Amino acid sequence: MQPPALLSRPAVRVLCTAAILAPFSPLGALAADLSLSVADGPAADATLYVALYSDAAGYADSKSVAAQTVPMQAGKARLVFAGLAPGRYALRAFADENGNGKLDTNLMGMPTERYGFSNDAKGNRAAPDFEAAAIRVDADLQTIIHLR
Amino acid sequence: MERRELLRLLASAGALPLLAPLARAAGTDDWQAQYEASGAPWKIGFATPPDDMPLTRATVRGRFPDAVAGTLFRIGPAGHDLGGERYHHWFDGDGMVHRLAIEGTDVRHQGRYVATPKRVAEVKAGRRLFEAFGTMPPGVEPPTSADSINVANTSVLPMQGEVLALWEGGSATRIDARTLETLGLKTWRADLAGMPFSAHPKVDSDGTVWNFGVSSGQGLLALYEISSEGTLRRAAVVPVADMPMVHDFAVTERHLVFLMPPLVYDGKRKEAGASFLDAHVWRPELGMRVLVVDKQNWERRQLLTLPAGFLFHVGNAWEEVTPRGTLIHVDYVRSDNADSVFTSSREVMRGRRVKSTEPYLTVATLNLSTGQATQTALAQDAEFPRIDPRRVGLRHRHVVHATQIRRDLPGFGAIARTDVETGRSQRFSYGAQAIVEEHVFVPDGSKPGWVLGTALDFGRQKTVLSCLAADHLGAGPVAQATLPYALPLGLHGAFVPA
Repeated sequence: MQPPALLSRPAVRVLCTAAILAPFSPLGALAADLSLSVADGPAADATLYVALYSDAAGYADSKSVAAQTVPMQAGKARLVFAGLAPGRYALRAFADENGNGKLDTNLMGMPTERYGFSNDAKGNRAAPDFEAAAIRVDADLQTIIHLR
Repeated sequence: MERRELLRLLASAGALPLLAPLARAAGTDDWQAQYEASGAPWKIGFATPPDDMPLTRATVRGRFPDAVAGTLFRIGPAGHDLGGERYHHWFDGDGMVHRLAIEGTDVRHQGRYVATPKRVAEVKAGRRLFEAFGTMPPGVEPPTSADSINVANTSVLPMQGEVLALWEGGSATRIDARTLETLGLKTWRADLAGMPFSAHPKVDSDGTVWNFGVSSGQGLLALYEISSEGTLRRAAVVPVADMPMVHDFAVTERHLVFLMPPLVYDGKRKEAGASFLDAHVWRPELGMRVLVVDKQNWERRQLLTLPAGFLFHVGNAWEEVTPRGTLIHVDYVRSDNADSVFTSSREVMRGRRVKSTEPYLTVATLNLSTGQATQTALAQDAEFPRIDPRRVGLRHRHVVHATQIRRDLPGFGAIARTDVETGRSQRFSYGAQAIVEEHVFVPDGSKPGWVLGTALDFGRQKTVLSCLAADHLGAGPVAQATLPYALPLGLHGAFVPA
């Protein structure tokens, strides 16, 4: 049987590049905070990379509107994207276990470190699209991603 | 992935029962009821052992020769139903690994389910959570990785005191050879984690282990070279157009040989919800492509074509340089099409016998110099071909194989040893109440050697282990051990001398 193409190589690259872009916080009267819990990371300490996207085009092109890295301990981490303009957002996350700053993949391009998407969205043998991962942020919101 | 990874997967499985209502809503089918209602006397071969099987002594008739003192490890699909749902294909079931410890007149059996992340999660949930080779249980979600649906049910590779339980779509699973405890997934190198590792590795005469893996969705063929000590020497992936189902391969002194039946993966069918099996399309216009890869330089590849046909298993291949060119001789078990995997191997799961295209031992000759490929079918219906392990990749004469297809019974009734150069064959029939499983050849120095294997005696509802003289199969077993119970019909095994 074949491994489902969870993340094509471009998708992996996308996630990696997104993670190093500088955080961006639009200011405005209607700004909301998105609080994210991430669970089911590796048992050993790792660094969690999270990228935030505000539309399908940016998601597809890996143009994140914000990105953060935080320490992950005992498979858990928390972080906040503060001051977001109301709208729909999608998140991609991965746990960097070996500290090389990227989501490692095997020779066939399948991730070998744990990753996840907002809504705990799963693609059908590929990364889920923006619609599947999108969450509405109109006011302060808490959400969770279970890595897999 | 190592033990840590498995433990983590097991821990995360706790969240899955939340999805239960989704699956329940989709309803169940009646295959389990049909299986239970079936009056087929052989259906015990497809029953699900309710639990692991503790070490149990068999009744032994005769004495097993010193050359077969050791352990016969076997594996096969065993967890066929769960929560009242029955799989629709023989190849779907969760693997159970067996060890048959043999010493003279003492034979003991132990069986243990491989504790794959899939099985652990599903048993905990009390129902199926993941898709299988030939079944899409209701309400399952797309797998998160190949190893999330790995059933470790196809073959075993003893290595360095462990036994690797092999599937073909994902990693090998490490098993403690003494306790059969599941130790975790085998990762040959960090960047090979989760890669497909086929169930038919070939061990060269110098101990080198060669294997491959197919990623149908990506059209990639992985190649592996592993030292006899179990360390990876090389791995790479090469692209293959119109990726077919490839279950087995052969090695020669200088080449890797892949017979590629025109049963081709169609990703669109998979996306539309088909099982992995049903995502494959029969495309006879492609013929049987034969990919020959230079062992030393995997970039040197040659494609030849045989007439369209289907196979699971290859016996052996060897090569010679002749005035007509470099020839590779390869014998395999060929059928005209792939119907049996879609019909016969499914219907047994509800206790029905449906006859299909029959497989015959076939010898092909590949001329690497001219690119011509020809083949001859022998008059032997066959499956589970095995050869003298000392002759892998070298000129061999004999193939041990199951034979004797019956109209009203699944599987085979006899074990045979056929000379692939002359076609001469001898056999031992286990009778009208038995289904033969794979038998292996066990060498005995310069003597003719032994044939060792199991059969399901469904008349007595017991599994028997027999040892036959390789040069006198017709004389019947020189020793036979009878277990006090029947094992589910399995797939492949390997013998490890004491």
